[in-house]
Amino acid sequence: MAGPESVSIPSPREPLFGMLHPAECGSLAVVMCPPLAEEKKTSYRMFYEQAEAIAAKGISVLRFDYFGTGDSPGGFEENSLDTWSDDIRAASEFMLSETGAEKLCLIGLRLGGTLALTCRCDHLVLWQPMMDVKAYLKANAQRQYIRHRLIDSDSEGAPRMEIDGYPLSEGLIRSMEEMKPVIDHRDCLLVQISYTEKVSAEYLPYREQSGVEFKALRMEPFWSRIGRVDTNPLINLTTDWIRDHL
Amino acid sequence: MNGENIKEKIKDMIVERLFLDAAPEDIGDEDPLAEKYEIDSVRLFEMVIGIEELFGVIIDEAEFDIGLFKNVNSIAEYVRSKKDIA
Repeated sequence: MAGPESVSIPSPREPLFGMLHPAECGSLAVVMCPPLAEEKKTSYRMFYEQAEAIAAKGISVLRFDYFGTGDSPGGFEENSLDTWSDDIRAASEFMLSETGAEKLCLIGLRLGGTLALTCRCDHLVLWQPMMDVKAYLKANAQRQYIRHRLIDSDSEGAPRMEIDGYPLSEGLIRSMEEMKPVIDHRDCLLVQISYTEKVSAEYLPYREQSGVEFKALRMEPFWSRIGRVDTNPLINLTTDWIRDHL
Repeated sequence: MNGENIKEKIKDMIVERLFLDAAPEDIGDEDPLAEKYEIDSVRLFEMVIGIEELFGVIIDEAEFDIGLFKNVNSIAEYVRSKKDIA
């Protein structure tokens, strides 16, 4: 199996940076949709390990950076929910063209999962996606406040319009608050990753939904941990699910 | 819900939510949580959410204080004050 290679993904703005994990099988291709900010950085290694595990089963995988993030050009503040979704579509088109695959599977973590819901694909894997974006923004503001209080105990007015230091415009916040994610894909694996296997209220409506396979993993949220987390249970679950859908 | 019961619930929540490699009864009431369990902002946020969900209280910004999370006793004292439990 060849190792991953860097690729340039054509997109409506500027080419995006990607890492292609090539494999021999041509029937299915996978695109991994990352989250943002610290969550993206912290999950970087896990994305690599997941991509390698799937490629070892003969399925090509693409990891990529949204415009204005990672190694892709542009500024973070130039983005919107639509441009991020467009980036996923660009990565998907590139992957189908590059591999000659007939079917596409998207894997999305956190906001990457929520964004993947807006894109067409044959199979969809969601890792702890934000189905209640308004609640996420509220929690994020609370977390930012705590972070700033820890850094500067005298801090009274910690900035709110940001995710881990990345600025969010009022327009972006408004569009995120108005988001009403739905799962209308016919073949979806929804994975809850939490301290408990009890189904959260956020995912309860989807547990019995036709076409959605729900799994709850008791696992540390690796996207927000500084230390190493054993993500093998999630990697194995996802790899097996995708292999079974070849 | 009495005072001891609150402390037990807090210890269970801390171990469960922070994935600690320790038993709830290993946490002393006066143990300095930040130092002993490496509480960073992410873990502190987990504890805030855990307390809010567990006891049905809202820790609003005006009363948020790092000192509340100094140890199990300080958290229990805060919960008691919010729930008006003797």
